[in-house]
Amino acid sequence: MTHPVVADRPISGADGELALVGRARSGDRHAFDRIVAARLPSAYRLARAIVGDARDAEDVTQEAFLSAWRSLPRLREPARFEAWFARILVNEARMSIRRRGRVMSVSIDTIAVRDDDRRPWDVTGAADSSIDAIAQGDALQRAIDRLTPDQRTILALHHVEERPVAEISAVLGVPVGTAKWRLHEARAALVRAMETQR
Amino acid sequence: MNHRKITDRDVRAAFLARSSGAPAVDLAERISAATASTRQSRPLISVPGFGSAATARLAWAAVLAALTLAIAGILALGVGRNPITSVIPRESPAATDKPVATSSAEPSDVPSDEPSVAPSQSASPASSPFVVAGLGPDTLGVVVATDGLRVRRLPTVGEESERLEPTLPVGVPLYVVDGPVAADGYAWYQVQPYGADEPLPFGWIAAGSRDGEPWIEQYRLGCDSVPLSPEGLASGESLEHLFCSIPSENENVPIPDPEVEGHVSCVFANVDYMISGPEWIEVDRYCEFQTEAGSFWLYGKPLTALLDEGAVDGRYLVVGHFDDPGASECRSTGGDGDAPDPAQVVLSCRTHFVVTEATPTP
Repeated sequence: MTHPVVADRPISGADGELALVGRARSGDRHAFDRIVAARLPSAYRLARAIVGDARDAEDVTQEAFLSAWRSLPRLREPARFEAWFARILVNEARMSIRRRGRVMSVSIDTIAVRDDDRRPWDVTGAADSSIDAIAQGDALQRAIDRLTPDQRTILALHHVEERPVAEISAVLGVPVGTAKWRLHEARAALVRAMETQR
Repeated sequence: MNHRKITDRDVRAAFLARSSGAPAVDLAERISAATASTRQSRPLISVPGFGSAATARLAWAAVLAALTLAIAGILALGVGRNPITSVIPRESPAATDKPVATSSAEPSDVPSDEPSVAPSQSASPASSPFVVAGLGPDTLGVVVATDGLRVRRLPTVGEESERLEPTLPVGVPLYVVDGPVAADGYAWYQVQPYGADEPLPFGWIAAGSRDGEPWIEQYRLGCDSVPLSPEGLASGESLEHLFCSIPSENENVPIPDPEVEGHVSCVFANVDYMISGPEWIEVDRYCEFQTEAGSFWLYGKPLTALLDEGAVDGRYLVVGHFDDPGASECRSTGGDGDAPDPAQVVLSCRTHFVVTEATPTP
């Protein structure tokens, strides 16, 4: 699907994002529209990975861009826009999850799994199309839903955005060592959440 | 179901499947429309040398652009200051209710290369410098010199005191931070100009020529015209809000903390302040009071801590104040090269509305 705004000319060269951020920071809405166009797909993808629901992901994406627009004059280093915006986005996503009260602790020994709790599982990205793989994919989706917002966020940053730990630490505003530890903990929590379904 | 060990590939596939799909085709347009109706929150202190001059209307931005010798300035200031404590002020012109030009300034001691009224080293010192009666810290002044009043980094005409651009046009109101300080035959005031369409520098100005010609006057603002309503706070001059929140020496009657009720929205976000210090400067969250006339930022844990309990996006009764004592702790977090004057940083923090109570209302 091609969005008309997304199809705008790419950001490059002298008209690069740094220049656009500078113009947007000074109140140029057209420049900000172009930043939105360039970043919308990846922003939505990350939001969706964290919150799960498509409508919620759209709300999160919209709120994140709006928040960024409001706060842009306070961004001291425009070169840091990407990490700065990612942090706004993940914070909006975490807030969205908390607002809707979908957080469940994976430390609960027994988690009841309802049949209607299943999410459609798109096998497009799966290498193995066997029934077991589909079932495991389903179980993984449910397990992800049971992670805390912070755990989902760090796994999404790592697996969807494929960001190195140093970048994740910048987005989350924590030291690299903390980011590594949280990533490890989130992975372990995911495994525990899977095991509760066995 | 036979579960095998979960690999990174499995997790990645699960997240990619979860995030597949595209947003609604009109999402970008919705964001654009929302942006059009949302005002940017501009800091009092902005980033030097960034952004277009056409849109950078805040005077504070230019101040930072010019402040590149802060460390040297601070050192020089510490050596050269000579607060006026014994000078008997000459009578200043009558204060006006509105900032208007009341004199035509063409001082005789203007150097030929200086297209503005400015203190000069060449003139012979007078016995006592001209000072403006009633003008001191936390008062307002107004420029009455018609040829552009020079702002300097330090209260002296010496070479160490950089001339800042642009000069101040007639009618520009000033918030006085410090002074008067006597040096080189002049009485100097440290001021923050405001209310102009172009950025104007923070720094030191002389009150008048050595001949006693006034270059600034006291500006007696009637605080009845500065409503502390939500709309007033959103659209008015923050320095006037600060001025009107400080009891005058004559009255010395405590002014009650403003109460405002309306829509408050708080979010978690990485706020890139240029300042740090008091606990209410929080980098991971911020709150806005939103009105039809615009929005203004709210500070203070009584409000921001509510985010930990859930969303903050609705009507609230908010009690707070300007001139919080913690403002004195505010320091620039910028590098040495672009560090603003410490006095300007503190002044900026004093204009922040710090919340002491926040109550949700129906």
